[in-house]
Amino acid sequence: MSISLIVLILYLLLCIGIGVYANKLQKKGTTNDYLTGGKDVSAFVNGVAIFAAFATGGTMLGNMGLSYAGGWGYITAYNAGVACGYLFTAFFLAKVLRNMNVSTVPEFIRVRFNNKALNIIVPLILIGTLTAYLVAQMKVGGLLGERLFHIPYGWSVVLIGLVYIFYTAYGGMKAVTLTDFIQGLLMIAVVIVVGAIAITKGGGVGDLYSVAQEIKPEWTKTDGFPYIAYIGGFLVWMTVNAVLPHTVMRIFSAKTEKAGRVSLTIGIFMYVVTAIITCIFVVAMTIILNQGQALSDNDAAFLLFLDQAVPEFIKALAYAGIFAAVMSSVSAMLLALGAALAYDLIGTIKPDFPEAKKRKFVPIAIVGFGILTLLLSLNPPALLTLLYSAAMGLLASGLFFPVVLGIWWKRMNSIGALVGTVLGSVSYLVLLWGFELPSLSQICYSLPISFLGCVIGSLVSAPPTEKDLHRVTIAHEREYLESDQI
Amino acid sequence: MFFKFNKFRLISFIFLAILVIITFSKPLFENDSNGTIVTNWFLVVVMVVAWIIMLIDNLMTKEE
Repeated sequence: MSISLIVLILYLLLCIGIGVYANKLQKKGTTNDYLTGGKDVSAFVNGVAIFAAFATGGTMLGNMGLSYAGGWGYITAYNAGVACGYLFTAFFLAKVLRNMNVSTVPEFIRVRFNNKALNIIVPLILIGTLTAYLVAQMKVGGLLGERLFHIPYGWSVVLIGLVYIFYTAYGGMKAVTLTDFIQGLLMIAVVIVVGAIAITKGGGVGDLYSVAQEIKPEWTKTDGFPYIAYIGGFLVWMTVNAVLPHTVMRIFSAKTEKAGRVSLTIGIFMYVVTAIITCIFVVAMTIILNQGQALSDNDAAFLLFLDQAVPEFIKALAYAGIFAAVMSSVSAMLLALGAALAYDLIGTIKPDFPEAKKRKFVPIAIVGFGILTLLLSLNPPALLTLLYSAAMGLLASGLFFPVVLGIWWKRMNSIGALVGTVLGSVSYLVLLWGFELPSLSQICYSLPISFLGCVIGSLVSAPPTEKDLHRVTIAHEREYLESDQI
Repeated sequence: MFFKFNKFRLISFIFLAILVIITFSKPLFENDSNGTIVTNWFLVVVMVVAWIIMLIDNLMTKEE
């Protein structure tokens, strides 16, 4: 048995063990405890978990492939968007969402606007976009299992699927956070070690960069993608961060509001370090090793680097790190998906659904969605990358302004939120499927359309009452308590 | 009309937004410094500045 396979098996057993441990810790908790991990996660653990959940298999492989093929500037535009998105979330959303005592983004929409159509549309948007995102990640996991460990694609998907569905459903947010923490530590360790190897082999940062630039001058230019694609990439990843449930739900799982903000600062630090090391230094060394030749599969750039420059044991850890990147993201997303169905959608359709039943139903919904995405991943749609990118753009176009304006603008009402959500989502899909526009640039139009929809819809209809604004007003000052109910 | 913003956060976000606008300006996007397009370097600066601003905010702002 190869060392890579032994490391993988140990890692999967650890994830299962954490699931069992987390279940014991919160057996008597409520649905809210299950979805937030009991709100007692320390800032450091939460910060590493945020990084792990956001850094996907795509971050570990796809980003380096994009850098190798299209220049490091384009993928750095994505990464700069992520960094600004974390800042935006920490500065303008974290405090109020946390103080409102809500567990999910749709719950915020329900509490703030209480609009029946919105209460159904928002969870449906989340369920659709997260399913596409999840299937894309599972496909990456399946391909990796095939490539790295020589496990057939289908078995690879089933193996990953069974392990992560088990610990997510059995242990809830507590298990997801603890496994994400371990996975995040593994990922950052891999990034630092391979970065150090690349820099050492390249003769230092300066030499590494200039030699790679000499071999492949277009790598440091911006000719690979159109100008508007840079802006679109930045905007999508900045705005989606504010509404991506597996980022926002972490704010709720932190011990305190400040711990939530500190977690985001730790998460952004680890993400920025990863972005610079992988997309610039490791790719520079890969260019040197391959003399800048075009690759048959750009996503294999990192694997080529590992094959050519890294000792066997580090390679085994790196493989486990890539698997960890996939699993940490899918588990966090699956939890958000289960919450969107059982907590938000059922909660809207049947408001008197008993808490005890809800607590039992959320894990069942997680298992159900887990199996559904597993089956979809066994036979994934051909245009998966398009679907996945569209999913993120759709989420940001539809929900960014309704959430942000709902928190900050007192005049924002449910009609404005509904018009903004519908116009943002529909315009994005029309531009995506009806026009030939550069990748991700659709958001440059759909985001302003959503903003105008929110503003005009609010101004032409009756302003919100004091009762509508009661909870959000309190949340700007302090934590909302049950005794504040009117 | 709006809920009250934290001054430091509002000003630092406006500063970051201006930095982003400069980063994506055509002159920076079309010119290079030692062979690397200037926008690329500025994007790295944007990431690092965003993190530094968050760090300062954590030091300045207590529990809310």
